[in-house]
Amino acid sequence: MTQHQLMLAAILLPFATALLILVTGRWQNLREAVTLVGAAGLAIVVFKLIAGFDAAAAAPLVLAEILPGFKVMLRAEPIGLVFAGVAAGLWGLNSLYSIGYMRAEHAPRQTRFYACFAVALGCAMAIALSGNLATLFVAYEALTFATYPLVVHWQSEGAIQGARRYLAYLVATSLVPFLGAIVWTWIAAGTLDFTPGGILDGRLDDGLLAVLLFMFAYGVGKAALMPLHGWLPSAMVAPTPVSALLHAVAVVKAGVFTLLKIAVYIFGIEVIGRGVGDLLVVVAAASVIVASLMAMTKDDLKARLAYSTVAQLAMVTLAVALGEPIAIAAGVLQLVMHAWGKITLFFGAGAIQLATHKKRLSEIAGIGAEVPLLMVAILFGALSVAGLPPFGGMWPKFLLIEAAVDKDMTVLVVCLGLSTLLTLGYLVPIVIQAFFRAPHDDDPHHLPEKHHEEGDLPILALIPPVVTAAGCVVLFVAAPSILAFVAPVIGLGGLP
Amino acid sequence: MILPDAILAHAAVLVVVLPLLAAPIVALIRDHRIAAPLAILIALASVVLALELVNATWGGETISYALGNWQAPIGIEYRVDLLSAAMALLLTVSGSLAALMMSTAIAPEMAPGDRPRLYAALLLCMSGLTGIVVTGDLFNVFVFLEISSLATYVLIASGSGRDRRALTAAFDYLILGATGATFFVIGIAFLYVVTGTLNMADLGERISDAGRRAVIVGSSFLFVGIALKAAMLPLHRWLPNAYAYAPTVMATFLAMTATKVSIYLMIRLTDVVFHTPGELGRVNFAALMPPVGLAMLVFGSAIAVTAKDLKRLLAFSSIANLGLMLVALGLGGVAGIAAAMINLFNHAIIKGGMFATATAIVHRRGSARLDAMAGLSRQMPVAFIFLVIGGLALIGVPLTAGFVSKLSVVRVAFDLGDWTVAGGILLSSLITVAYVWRIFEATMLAEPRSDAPKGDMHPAFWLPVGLLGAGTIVFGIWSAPVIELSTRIAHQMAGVTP
Repeated sequence: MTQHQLMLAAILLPFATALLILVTGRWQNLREAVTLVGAAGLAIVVFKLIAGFDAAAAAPLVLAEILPGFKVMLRAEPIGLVFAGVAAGLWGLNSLYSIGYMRAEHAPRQTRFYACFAVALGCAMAIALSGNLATLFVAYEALTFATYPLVVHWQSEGAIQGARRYLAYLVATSLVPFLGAIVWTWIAAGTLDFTPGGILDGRLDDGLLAVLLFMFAYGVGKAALMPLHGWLPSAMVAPTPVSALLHAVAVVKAGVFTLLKIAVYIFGIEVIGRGVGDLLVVVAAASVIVASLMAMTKDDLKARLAYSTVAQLAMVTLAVALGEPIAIAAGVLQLVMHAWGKITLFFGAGAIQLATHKKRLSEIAGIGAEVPLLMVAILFGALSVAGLPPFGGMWPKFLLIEAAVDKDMTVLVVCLGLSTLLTLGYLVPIVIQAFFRAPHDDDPHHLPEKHHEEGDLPILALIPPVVTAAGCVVLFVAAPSILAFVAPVIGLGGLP
Repeated sequence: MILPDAILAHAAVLVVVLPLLAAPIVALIRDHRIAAPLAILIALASVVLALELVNATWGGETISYALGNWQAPIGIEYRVDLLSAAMALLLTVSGSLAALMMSTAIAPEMAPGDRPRLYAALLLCMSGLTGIVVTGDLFNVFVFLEISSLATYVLIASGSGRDRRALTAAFDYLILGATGATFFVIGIAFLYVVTGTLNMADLGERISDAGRRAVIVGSSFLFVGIALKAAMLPLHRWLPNAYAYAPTVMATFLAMTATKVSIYLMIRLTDVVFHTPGELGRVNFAALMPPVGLAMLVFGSAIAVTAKDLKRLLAFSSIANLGLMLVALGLGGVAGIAAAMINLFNHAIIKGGMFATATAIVHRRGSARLDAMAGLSRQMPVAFIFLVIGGLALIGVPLTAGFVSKLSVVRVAFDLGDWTVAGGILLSSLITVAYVWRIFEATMLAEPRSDAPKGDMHPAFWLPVGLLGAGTIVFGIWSAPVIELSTRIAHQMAGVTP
């Protein structure tokens, strides 16, 4: 297949899968087989796209023109392919996990769940392959609405409230600052096409560019930059597989991916680096630290992970704001590494809940003996997110610090160091609590007579976290090839 | 096209006269099973005539038809340009879609013997509105305004079979509508006294020599009359009740057409009355429109959030959307008029689709109350999908016609550097999200009632709902037809050759 056909296939395959899921909804096994086949198919298509990528032959594919000049257009480029690879690669694993989790929970409305999941993946693919800001916006909005039924899944009062917040934040930011910034860009630059080196240099003066950058940074609400991060903890009312793939990978990564695209192809890295992004550096760094501190105060495991995500996403925003090729490289790697690390943690949190019916840090003391393999996987994920070797998560932290040193930002270097400590501080206690604390006897939720075992855990809910944890180690080795893949478009000369 | 030349030559007048003459015949037929198909047939024939008019004016031509061969400015002239033709097409298509649904929709709430008269009222209303858009004579506009208004009172009042409040809603509109018409005719009188002509084209030429004060007073009266019919804030209060209590199928027709015709009049009269060049020191009505339009956007959306009834919610949403059209008109220029026309057509499709879906829901479940819609997503999945499509379009989600509408106005505002307007429109979408989400939560998340009537949409609604729903999506992706049409109209109105 040609590159154009592959791009269309990558977007249409999940939508076709969603249709088939709806059709086969009555037969549970068949429906879930459809999901798995769709996920495998998408992984193959995206793999072929990446393997066959040739920068010289990457021609745009125009699909429609919504208004004169506002085109729906696809174009493959390395950063987008990296994002597509992450989302497509994790969909299959997450589907396995979903099957284990949703069956164990006897969840209602599973057909809608799998169908919306497939649609969300299709939207993520369209975001990844978009050739201009217009297309990206279209897919970005579609992703918000496609994920709403997933967030509201339990349809309890709490879920409805949480989903309302989710929607309010994401739609409000995208329809006001984001769309505003897009139209402004459109009028200032006369185009919305993603162009290496940017389209805005010389079109607006640097002060206005800084304003525009802020409109984008807050308009892309999915990047959860503080103080517009509130939707992410709210979205945790969703079933855990949703939190895992969407609120650690597809949705939030779509946000920071958008910022990376805007930095590289709309503003141009140098333009941001010459001072336009300076204020955003401060805001993003503050977001990293504050969100980490807030994560430490959360007892609910998923809430803790959500705030951790806010902090880790802010690192990508920080990378964008620094406006250095090496920082952008860190941002791209963070997109990959955090996805694998955080999905491991979410898988873990969901599995703990399945095996022991516990959701809070304070309740899980001593469960390490019951679910040892799972806890080791969680430890791997935690160390990777914190940025320790030999886990993939080390690379982005390392490169970010290097970029900060390059720019002589000593305070930032201290911040980044501190953030690693804080990350260890809020993630490692999960493992410590599980392995080294004795269960409280006064815990009203603890039922000593019922001993939980890993055997209680559906095998489908255990394999995915183990695989993603192993993936974190593999990525440590694979990081240089990812860097080499994106290096040409971000102007990174020799590899560090 | 397909019609013989003898008919083609008279298409401009036939499109009005055909339904006008057919209406009494339909009313006299006793058997509603014959009256309904006849009304549908007449409406569809009018669509063909309107299509012919669009075809004839597409290239920028103007058809001038002297009624009874009395030449203008003495006689009444029908003057059809692309704007008139496109409006006529919108009106006749809306009338046809309503006609296709009406016999099924009205069955539960009206005795068979009364129905033919309702069908006749629909044809009369359509004929009157079409007359407004094709005539070139200002007094003739008034006459058709009255014809359509009288028919509208009947349409609204006939909702009393389901809810007696339809009678007060109709009476309310009768009083306000009559007041508006009086203003309109007084305005005409002033202009006639100082210019000695009623032909709009002629009036446009003579008005610059006319006495300044009389023109200001006259055009002000005209403007208020039209503003009332357009439900312009604060003259909007007839609209919500009229839409909420009219039979839903008739509300569908009114939502697609009635206020749109007033917007047409504003565009038409902007050209010939309000914007007259010269030493006139005219009242600048255009400057009034963006602030009033923004206020309508915010006010209409905010009240829609509190509505407890789907039809009422859609009615207030219509006020908001009319506000958006006024904003676009007020921004002015070719781009502004084009944006207003894009909004006009797209909104007719979107809101028509939502009202048509509401018609199907009311027909099945007997109520448009939001709290009676629990479980709709599972009990009437097809209707629910069309509600979702329409709702997303109202918000302005990309790939729907609503996005094209909103973006076109925002783009014009940005181009002019009018940040308040651009920001106001974007911010108002947030309130839209709030009221649209109330529909979704009521239909999707609330616990379904077990006693709800079974079954999805009646097949009679498939075509209208399907067409309008498909239009909402198709014109959101392939917007070229609407944009091309609107731009051509705008060029014609501004006297610029494209």
